[in-house]
Amino acid sequence: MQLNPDELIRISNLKVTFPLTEGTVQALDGVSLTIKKGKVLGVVGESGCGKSITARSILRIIPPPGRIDDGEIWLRTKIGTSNGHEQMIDLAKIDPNSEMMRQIRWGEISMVFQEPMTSFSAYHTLGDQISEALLIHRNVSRREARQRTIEMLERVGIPNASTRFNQYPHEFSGGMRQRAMIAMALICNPSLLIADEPTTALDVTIQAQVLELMQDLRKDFGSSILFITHNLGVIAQIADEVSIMYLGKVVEHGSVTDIFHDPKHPYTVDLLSAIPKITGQKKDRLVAIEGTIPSPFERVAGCPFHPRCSRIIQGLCETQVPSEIDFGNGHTVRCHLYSK
Amino acid sequence: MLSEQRILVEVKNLRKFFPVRRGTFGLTKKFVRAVDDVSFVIYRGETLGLVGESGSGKTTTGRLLLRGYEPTAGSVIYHLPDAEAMDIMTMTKRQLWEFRKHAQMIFQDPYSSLNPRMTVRDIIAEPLIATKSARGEDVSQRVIETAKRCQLSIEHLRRYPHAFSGGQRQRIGIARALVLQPQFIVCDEPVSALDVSIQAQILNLLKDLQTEFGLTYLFIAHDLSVVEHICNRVGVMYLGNLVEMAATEELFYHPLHPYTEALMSSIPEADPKVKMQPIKLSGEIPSPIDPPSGCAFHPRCQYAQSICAESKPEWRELAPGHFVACHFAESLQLRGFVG
Repeated sequence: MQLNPDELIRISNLKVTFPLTEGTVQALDGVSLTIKKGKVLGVVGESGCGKSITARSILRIIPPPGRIDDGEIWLRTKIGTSNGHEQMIDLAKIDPNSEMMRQIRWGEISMVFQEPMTSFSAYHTLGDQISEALLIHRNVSRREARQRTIEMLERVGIPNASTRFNQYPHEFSGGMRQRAMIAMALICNPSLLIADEPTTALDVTIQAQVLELMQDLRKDFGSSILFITHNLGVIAQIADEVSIMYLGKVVEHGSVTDIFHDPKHPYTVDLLSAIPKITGQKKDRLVAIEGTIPSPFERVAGCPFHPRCSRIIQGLCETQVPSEIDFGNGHTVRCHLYSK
Repeated sequence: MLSEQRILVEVKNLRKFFPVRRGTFGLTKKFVRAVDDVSFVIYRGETLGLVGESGSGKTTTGRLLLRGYEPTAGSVIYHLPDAEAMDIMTMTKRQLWEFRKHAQMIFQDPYSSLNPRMTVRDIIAEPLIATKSARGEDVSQRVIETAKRCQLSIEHLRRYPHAFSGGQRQRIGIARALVLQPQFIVCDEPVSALDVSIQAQILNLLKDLQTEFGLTYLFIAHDLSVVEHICNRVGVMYLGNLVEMAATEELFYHPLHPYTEALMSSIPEADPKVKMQPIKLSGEIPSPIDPPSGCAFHPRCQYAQSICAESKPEWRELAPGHFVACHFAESLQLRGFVG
């Protein structure tokens, strides 16, 4: 497997299942996506579409009993090579408890979680938790780790960083804790930052600040960002490219302008018309997508969206899984409407 | 705008302070000033939005309007059609039970607001039985009618809440509020927990029900595009105070309060070509236990002058229907929503 020079990670045909007593859940059903160097890939989808599982697969922290059944996750990294050359490794194949994987977590790929309230340990100071990553992954002294942590806390906009270093998570507000989380994620200068709904729990003014901060930091550090959210407004503001997921599949992928101004898949079109837009005029009804997301234990035959699709082709969409159609410039869609 | 502006709910100087214990061994008694002197009216048939950051007091205000909390001070007067004006804060328990037929509530979290041990039928029937509004066959009849109107099917009625998705649970919550045929419903973040496609279904349903039954809503939310979509007028709360209230369009495009301006600038527009330019508010929302002196917003306000720390700005009607509490509302040139 060879990654193109501008690619950092390429996931192809990833399948993840959860064998539960009630039945088997196919969480990811052949997900393919690419994260480019220094770019923000937005992954959008509703609950149960597999966006968080995709992120967790990269770090190999899928909650049990979930397991990767098939597919590849190729990462370009310098970890594991002695001479500083890059190599490609398939994260799907290596042992999640191996030394290599431990080095990649936080050394190469870090993650910002949705809940800033529960993702820190309550028993250690914030400074200790952030500098621990440096002590483990970068060969630095305690004094230097403390110094660099304080600098990073200042960089993400936390005032009085040297005092804050010695405080516990409960002494921080939600917005400040999310900033600290971002500081922790960036402390080792990772090549990929995974952000799983990082602003969902925040108020709109704080959300705007966190988004701006992430943009700035990406410019300064050159990290790629995998940004997961259900909020299309946030995606439009932060992403370079967007993948739309539905029931464990990527149904459409393209540049942020393609997705918002030239959507192809009926699901993308419906999603965009389902969000209220501020126009200052009297409002009609919203275009709602009929029906509900099917139970995770059901396997939908054919196109996963066909039971809710307004443009269903009878006799085709229920039986045949649509293959990927390329519109050029990396705009791809999986829908029978466009197959010849 | 609405053709006739008849007042349904009149809120006067409403206050709610929650006691908390602070200091060594909890010896110092202090108060969280959750709602601190709020006055406004709700017109018949309209949807009034209430927005603000978490902790701004919007949910407390919503609950006070139904006397879900006992207020510290103030009155909430209902002007129901064909009835005398009544202040629910002075009602007896018995009167309050009677009154609840007219005003109901829809809650944010459809997962915790339905009793898991009751069937959907019993959940929807309970308000009817509790207020003795119907008995026997009549109960079943009204439950079925209401459930149908909220797009639930009859087979759903025998099941328990756990069998339903978030959107369907919210329909059950709406049916429960609707079964008494109330005049007024407080909707506390009714779509915040729902996915985008389901959110649109519920917003449409709320709008249809409003047209059909002439309902009046108080709509509490933090998603400003949802609020803009569904509300006729919007009030903005900050730290227990109302800082601005106006017709929706007016508030979004011609805000008069610096905090509203900051909110409008922070809306992420679902269009990559419209980049947001958020106004940075310095610091965090202060604690409602020790709110700042004068205007509660002054420590974070970029236009603040010395007077803002000294005296609390008066809540006044600057233009017809446009209320604001800011010392400099007349002179500031503020930026509205750009989209």
